[in-house]
Amino acid sequence: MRIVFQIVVILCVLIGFGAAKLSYEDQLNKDMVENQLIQPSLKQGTNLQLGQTGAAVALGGLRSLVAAMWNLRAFIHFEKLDWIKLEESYGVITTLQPQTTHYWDTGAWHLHTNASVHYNEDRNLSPLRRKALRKLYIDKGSALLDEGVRQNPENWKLHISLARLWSDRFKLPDLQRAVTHYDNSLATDTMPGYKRKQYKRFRFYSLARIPARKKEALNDGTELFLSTPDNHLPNLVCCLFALQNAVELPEKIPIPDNDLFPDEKTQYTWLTNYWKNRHISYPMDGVLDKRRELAIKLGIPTPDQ
Amino acid sequence: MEETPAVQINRLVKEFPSPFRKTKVRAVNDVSLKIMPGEVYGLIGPNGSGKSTTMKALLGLLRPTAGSCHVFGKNSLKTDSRQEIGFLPENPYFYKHLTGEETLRFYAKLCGLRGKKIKTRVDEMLEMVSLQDARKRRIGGYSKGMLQRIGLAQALIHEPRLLILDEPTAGVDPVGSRQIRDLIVSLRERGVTVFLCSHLLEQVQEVCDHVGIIFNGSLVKEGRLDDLIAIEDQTEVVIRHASDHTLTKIRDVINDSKNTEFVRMGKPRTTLERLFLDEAKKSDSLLVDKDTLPHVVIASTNKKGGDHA
Amino acid sequence: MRKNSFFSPSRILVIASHTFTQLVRMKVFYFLAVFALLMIAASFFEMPYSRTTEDTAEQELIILKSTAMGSMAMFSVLFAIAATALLIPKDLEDRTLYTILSKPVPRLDYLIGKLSGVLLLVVVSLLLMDGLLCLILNYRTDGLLAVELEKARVQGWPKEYIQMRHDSITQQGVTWDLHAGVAAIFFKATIMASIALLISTFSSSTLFTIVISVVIYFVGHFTADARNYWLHSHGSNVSQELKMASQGVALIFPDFQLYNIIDATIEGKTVSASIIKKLTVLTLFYTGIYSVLAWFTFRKKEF
Repeated sequence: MRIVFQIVVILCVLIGFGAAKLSYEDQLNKDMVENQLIQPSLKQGTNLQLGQTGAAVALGGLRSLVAAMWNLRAFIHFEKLDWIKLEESYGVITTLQPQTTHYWDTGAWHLHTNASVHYNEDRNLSPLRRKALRKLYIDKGSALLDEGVRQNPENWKLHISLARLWSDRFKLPDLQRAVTHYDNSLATDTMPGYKRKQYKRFRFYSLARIPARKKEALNDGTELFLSTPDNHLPNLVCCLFALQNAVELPEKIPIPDNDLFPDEKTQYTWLTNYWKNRHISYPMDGVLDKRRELAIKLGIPTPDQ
Repeated sequence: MEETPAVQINRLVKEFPSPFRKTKVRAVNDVSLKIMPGEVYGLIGPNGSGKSTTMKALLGLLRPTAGSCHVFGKNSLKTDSRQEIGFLPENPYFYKHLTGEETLRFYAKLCGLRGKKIKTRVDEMLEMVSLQDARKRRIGGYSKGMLQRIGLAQALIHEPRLLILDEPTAGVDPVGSRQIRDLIVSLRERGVTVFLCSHLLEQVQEVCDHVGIIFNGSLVKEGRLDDLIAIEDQTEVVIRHASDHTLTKIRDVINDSKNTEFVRMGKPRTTLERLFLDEAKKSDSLLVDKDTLPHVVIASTNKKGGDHA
Repeated sequence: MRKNSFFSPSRILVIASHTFTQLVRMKVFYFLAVFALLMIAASFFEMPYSRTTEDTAEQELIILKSTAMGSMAMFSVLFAIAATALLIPKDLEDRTLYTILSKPVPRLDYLIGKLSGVLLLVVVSLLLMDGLLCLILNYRTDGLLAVELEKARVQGWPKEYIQMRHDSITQQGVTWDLHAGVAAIFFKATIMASIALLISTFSSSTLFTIVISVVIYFVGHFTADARNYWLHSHGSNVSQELKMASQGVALIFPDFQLYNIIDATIEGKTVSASIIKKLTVLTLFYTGIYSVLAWFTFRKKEF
């Protein structure tokens, strides 16, 4: 009897205290989530994957440790070329630590590079199957990064990883997507100043390779060239040269060659090297002709191209 | 001016809920007793008669179902009342990880002693219970007798006016037992009130001046020991080196007396305890200085009622 | 004779330091040796090579911190529960409780003293472990910085980038925010100890107390979800039982997710002073309530 009475009193006090602290805790919780100090609740279904002990510890505020241990396991799966388990591991790891760029990046890399190449070169599979699996894993890598971006919209690095993936000529390039990702990355506040120049250039390179957007590319390329001498790089200059030959912008005067290039010899060298990029859809308008012209002018013997 | 009793238990009732039946178990049933300061009171009774329960009620470890307990006028449920009490539980254990000295210091601090006084008292107590040699040894390594002695020391560390002892000599060897009894006597001489319970009746008989007998939770008999155990109508005489002629003469005197009846004559027996102690004293290693041979004590308690011995 | 007040700090200190000694002499500190070995092993850990990222240095530091603080968190919570759950039943079984309570010791002092003793041990252990972590972390951070600077020299990185890398790596090193994380670990342990104290006043079985405390610990991590569900989910397509259950959980159980700033500090995030203050206040409230309730049960307990 006495015990029952005591328990009732205790419960009442706890409930009363609970009501008093409810709004305090709620507010504190909001503050912390805002400051990114605590993780949002785990996605539904994750607990099942983590396993009993894993779930227990994950909830115990030790997500970092569990994620780190799963990371080690994932590496072992990588060494054993067990891509399914690896994908699963990274699913868990990124759920536990969604704000760690490294996990999204590495997981995606394993999928879109290592796994896809592995399947592509697997002689035990039919050519059709190899192609399909290659595509599948590239898409899986991209999907993982997309999820990372969804959970960390301000993370410039993840956007860049996606941009790189879709502009990679050794994979399945989709330059429209690449440009979008570059745009998203440049739109974040977190990208450091000195990186911006570089990635603006990379964006331009992707943009230039999209036939339908040459005008836009020319605009951006001109702006980049005029903004700073640091951008007077061979690839950019040659690209701009070709774009100026390909497209006419009525309101803009094309930059003359002797402003674009330091001198004719350099122009010849740069255009020769640039010409090698013709297989990856860089604009080549007027490059060959100019090269021939310069070769004659400078007296450089040319093998038959 | 009436002196405040050291212990005043008024109509104490303690019931415990029985785990199996709806009815409650009455461990103590309407017990009342009063102990004045300076008395040595023995509560005796068989196991399960309510002795320990009564003690615990006095110490505030239990709440009375009915009735009250007071120590020097303070209600036993109040923490203050325990300032005057020193308690030695039955089979005491102390923290095994502490040394003897650390144990005493701990309890001294709990009683509110501070600073130099602690050191003084600890040294005094260790000397009193003859544990100076073992002061740095961990309690885990103490024998039963040593545990009992350190228990007494911690009970007395804060100079309480009331000492409560639960089976103080249970399981202790005769020598240690003798020491404890001597200690109780010396405390009484210093005016400390002692309330003990035991079922070693002979020992209670030795030290207590008041006794209460408890059976099934009720106090069935109570009073001064001498009053209770004196066989009113008999007298005992012990003589040494008596010749047969003297003995015959004594018998004739008795037979001639009108109302006197001869009961028995023979060789009185020593007790096994006395024998043991004599042997121990001969080996001269353990006995305390106080020379209190049992036969003197027995003679004085028998010195009652009737005429000249 | 001195009047015994209801609540005496000096007496509490006596019991607390005695409890501390008792626990220390139970050779609890051997755990620290294990911890030290673990830390040293973790400091040799190197991230598996990954060419896509530049921040392996930070990750190595995070793993180091994670191992250390994970162990610290596990140790302090488990120890707080187990030690507190052990103390009162042990005293009861050994009958040492009788010798204490038969002295003029108010029962509140006894409880608070025991709790304080346990927490004192947790504090000392955490300080030692924190100290060791800082030493090893510092050493590792310096090592990694040196490697990065060497890389920078060889590869000719721009100044802004070098500064960025330097800041990024040192952010993962020893910072005040890391200590804030250790404080959060201590707060969690404090609350769990006071819960264990409360339960042990009911139950004289150490095992029972530990099991229930651990269950409460887990449920406490769902409190935030329950509260969110109750306060912020709208719609009548939710069963009444579930609603009541979530209300019950949100009210009765402490919200341990708030203390998960541990993870944030491991990742090198900054914790503002106001958040620490609020957490401290909340911890004090929880501990106070549970202690008072423990006393409420204990004061009438019979022995």
